[in-house]
Amino acid sequence: MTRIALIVVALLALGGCADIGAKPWQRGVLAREDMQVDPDPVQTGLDDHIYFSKEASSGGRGFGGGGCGCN
Amino acid sequence: MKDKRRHGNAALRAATLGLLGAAVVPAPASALETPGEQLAKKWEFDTGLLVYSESGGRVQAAEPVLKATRNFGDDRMLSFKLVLDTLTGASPNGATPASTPQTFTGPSGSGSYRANAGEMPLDDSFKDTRVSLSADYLFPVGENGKFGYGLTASKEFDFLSAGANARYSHDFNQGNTTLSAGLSYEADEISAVGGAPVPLALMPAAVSGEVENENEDEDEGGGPGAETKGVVDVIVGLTQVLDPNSLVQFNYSLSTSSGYHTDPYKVLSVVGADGEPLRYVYESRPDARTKHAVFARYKRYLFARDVFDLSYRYMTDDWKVQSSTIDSLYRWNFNSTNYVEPHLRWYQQSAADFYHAALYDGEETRVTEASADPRLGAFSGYTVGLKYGHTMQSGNSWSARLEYYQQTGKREGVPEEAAAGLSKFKLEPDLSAVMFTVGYRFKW
Repeated sequence: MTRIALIVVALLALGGCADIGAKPWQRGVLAREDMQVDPDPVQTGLDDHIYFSKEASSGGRGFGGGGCGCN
Repeated sequence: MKDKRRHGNAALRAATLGLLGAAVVPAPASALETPGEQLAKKWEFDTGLLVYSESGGRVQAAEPVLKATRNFGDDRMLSFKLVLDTLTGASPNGATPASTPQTFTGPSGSGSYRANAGEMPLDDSFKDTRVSLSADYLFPVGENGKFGYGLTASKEFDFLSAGANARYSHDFNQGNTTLSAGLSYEADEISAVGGAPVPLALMPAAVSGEVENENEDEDEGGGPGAETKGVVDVIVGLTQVLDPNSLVQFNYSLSTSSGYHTDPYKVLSVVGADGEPLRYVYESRPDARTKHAVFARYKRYLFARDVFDLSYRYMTDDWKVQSSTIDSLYRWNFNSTNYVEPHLRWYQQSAADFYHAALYDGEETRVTEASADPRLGAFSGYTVGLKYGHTMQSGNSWSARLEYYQQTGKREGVPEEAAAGLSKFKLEPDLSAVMFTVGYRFKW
């Protein structure tokens, strides 16, 4: 937990620096649909459902699976 | 006109927030439609169909999805999602192979299923249809915040689930940093066919397809009452834009559940020194579980054309399962309306501390928890896939993805006294599956 907190603080501090991030006029690429963190949520939902029912893990990228009697 | 385009962008940005992916930047409206056309069509439909097929006559599934999102044009979005899931086929029931044919009592207590000599026992009575519905509303809070809440419900033949969640995300540093947090609660009700069996109780013997019912009351246990489980999930996340072409994302999630975690249809073989089964007992899992997961993603735009996405997840829980998942995608946008996306995923997990491939004669009276469910054993897995996507003149798009998933089990949890006797059998079922998904996204 401490390590995670340190990473968060470090990144927030970095975010404040002038040379990290993008200026509002440099957002063309970041605005692309394929640059979104999850460009295909329907597919992601199907994948999460498969792996939740076939493996002992869940969570991380979103709420931890569930809503399923498969595991 | 500028404003309208911005609103169109917000729709996609908000859609990504639904998963707590918390995108920090607006997504573009379709390049092929004017902003006016975009705005006129306020509903976006995202549809998909997954066909999942395991080899060896095991699980076959078809899963259609329909998601409809209404964009109110001011960063407010309402969405509904419907998922159907039909499943048939056989699953390992937890028992070990034997040198002679084995017969097991079916879940309803009235039927039975068989495994030939040397074969991994599979329960082929498995058949289910799942319906899942969810609704979600997302709206802006102040200049840089977004709040979303949702309701979910799902129903299977023997399972009912209802849940609610709330998420908040906040942009800092001119939108280069986003912090997000979410909370979800889910209540589950499990109504096992024939009643939930008493953990570690003897599975009634099935003879020639008929079940001996004499011990039904004591051994099969299980009343008509349903079992319940509650799940609380918490997630916090940080997304940071590194430069105009790349970003990173970090999440931590905590999931705590309490109640009935046992699979009422899974058993363990109780074996003698020769490795042959003497009897079968129902599995027993702890009544609580706490999972921690950390997730990191790096995403980069390359060669002014392609997108590379790499992520890693580490998960650990108090059942002593530890797992690592590495996922990578490379989207090759070979022209402005077509792409090909290879996908590689690697997964590895250790076994739960109460996982036993089998129990040795008498061990079932000494343990309080035991499961031979291969999903709680140690294994590694990989997925390899390829997706093709196309955006049409109208701005609508479709995609098709074909993937292959393979799990390879690791021999673990074998009772020492029967290790020699069991050495002649393969105890860890491998799994291979082909998954095909088609998706179609359109505005109305």
